[in-house]
Amino acid sequence: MTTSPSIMLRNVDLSYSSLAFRDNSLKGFVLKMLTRKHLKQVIDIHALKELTFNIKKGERVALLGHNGAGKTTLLKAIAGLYPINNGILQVHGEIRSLLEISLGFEPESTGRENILYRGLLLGQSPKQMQAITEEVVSFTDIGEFIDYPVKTYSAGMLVRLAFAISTAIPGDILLLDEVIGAGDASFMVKAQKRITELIANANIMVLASHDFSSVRTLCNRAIVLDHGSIVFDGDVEEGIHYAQQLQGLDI
Amino acid sequence: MNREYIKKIYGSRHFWWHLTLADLRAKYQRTALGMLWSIIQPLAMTLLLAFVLTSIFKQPVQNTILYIYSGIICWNLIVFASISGSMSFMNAAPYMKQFAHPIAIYPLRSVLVGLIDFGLALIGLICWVLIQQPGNVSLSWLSTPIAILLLLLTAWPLAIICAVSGTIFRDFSQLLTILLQALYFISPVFFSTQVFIDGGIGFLVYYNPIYYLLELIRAPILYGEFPTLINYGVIILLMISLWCIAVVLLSYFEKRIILYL
Repeated sequence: MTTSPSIMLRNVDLSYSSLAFRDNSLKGFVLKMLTRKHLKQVIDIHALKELTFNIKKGERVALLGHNGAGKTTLLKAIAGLYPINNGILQVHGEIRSLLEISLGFEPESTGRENILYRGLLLGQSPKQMQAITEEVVSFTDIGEFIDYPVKTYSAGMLVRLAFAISTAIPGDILLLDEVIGAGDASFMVKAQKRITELIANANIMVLASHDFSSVRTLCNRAIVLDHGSIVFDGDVEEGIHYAQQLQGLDI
Repeated sequence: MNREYIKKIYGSRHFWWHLTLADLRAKYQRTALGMLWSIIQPLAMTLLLAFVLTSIFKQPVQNTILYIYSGIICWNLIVFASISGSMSFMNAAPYMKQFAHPIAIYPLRSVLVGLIDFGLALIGLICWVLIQQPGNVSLSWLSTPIAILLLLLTAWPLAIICAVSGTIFRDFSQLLTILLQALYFISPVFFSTQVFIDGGIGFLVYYNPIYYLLELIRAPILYGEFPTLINYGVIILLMISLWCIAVVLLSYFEKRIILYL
């Protein structure tokens, strides 16, 4: 059974348990149990509230809103990384998320080995990775360093490596947290081209961004979030206008 | 842990296996000679302890050395699985934030590194016994692969439990170190079981799961005997209890653990 790529949310709620960031030591926990001190009820952070929307094949959706509005949280929920508390979240299609891509290298391993590991992390097989490794290596353009341990890399080289691998594998649904630009000017041009291609090949793109100009060129729908709720869903120009107003009021 | 979950673990096998290999390469510094450290480290420890113990108890040196070495390599596996396991989610956080693989694979990575290290040390032990006491070789040696499988299936849930505890309680690994240190001294890792029994604290041996884990390897390799059925029974009971806890923890924290990272 093949269904065309889609994302469907019905009344999705997501809150961070306060347990996760409260005093998290065993010592503290045992002491509290012993002294039977009643905990002050710390309120869970309600990051997404009652979200309902559909995204169909061909849509390029921009998530707008100020910092902390829930854009990244929503992307992570769609990517299946964050647990939702209530509602229904259904995703059909292979997700390719470019979230936190510059993290997660094995420092003792070479660039080439890390290309393999990242590919395997993203669900590729060693054979599939063999086929694309050379292309990724040439895209990074870091010369002989590709066979050196990653711990010897400069920040710029790490970014190049991360970008080259993470964008080498296409997917149906592309999740982006800001359009990623990487490295120096010459690499930036290559990187922009690659991202544009990746977006063109994806069936669905969801982009969380503050950069209205790239939203205008890349997206055909805008969803504006405010404190975890959807306050606007529709045309890009209107969405940008709405978001600007919202931020104007907030400042 | 349902069938779907196990399928996903199998589906991500290339990923966790390559991470395990990466850890081993880093550990052995990319040299074949580096692998010898798996043997040299417990051996050095053994010689030190053997010197002290044979001086105190006037035990025959050779048996004592084999006994201690076999104890230390099993013990190292248990320590590595729990300590390295307790950090496994924190170390894998960058991966867990990018892709939702089943989280049980990260403690598995720790256990496999420990188990391969153990395997190399075990080869050292077997070579030694073959040279020194070839009379030990018997059919019972065939139980060793089963012992290794049981060790894997016991160490994995242990590592999962430590991984969840270590992520939720950041001071867990300090506590764990103390616990393991205590367990080391009250288990027959280097003291012979006879020392415990003569001292009137035999219960520390017979009610201690570590003793039964050690016997899985010691019975065949050192004494040329199959481990007893009771021995297997205890290990399987231990394994099942650890899995029960691990599965309960996983079913609650599988999706939530990311919020603690």
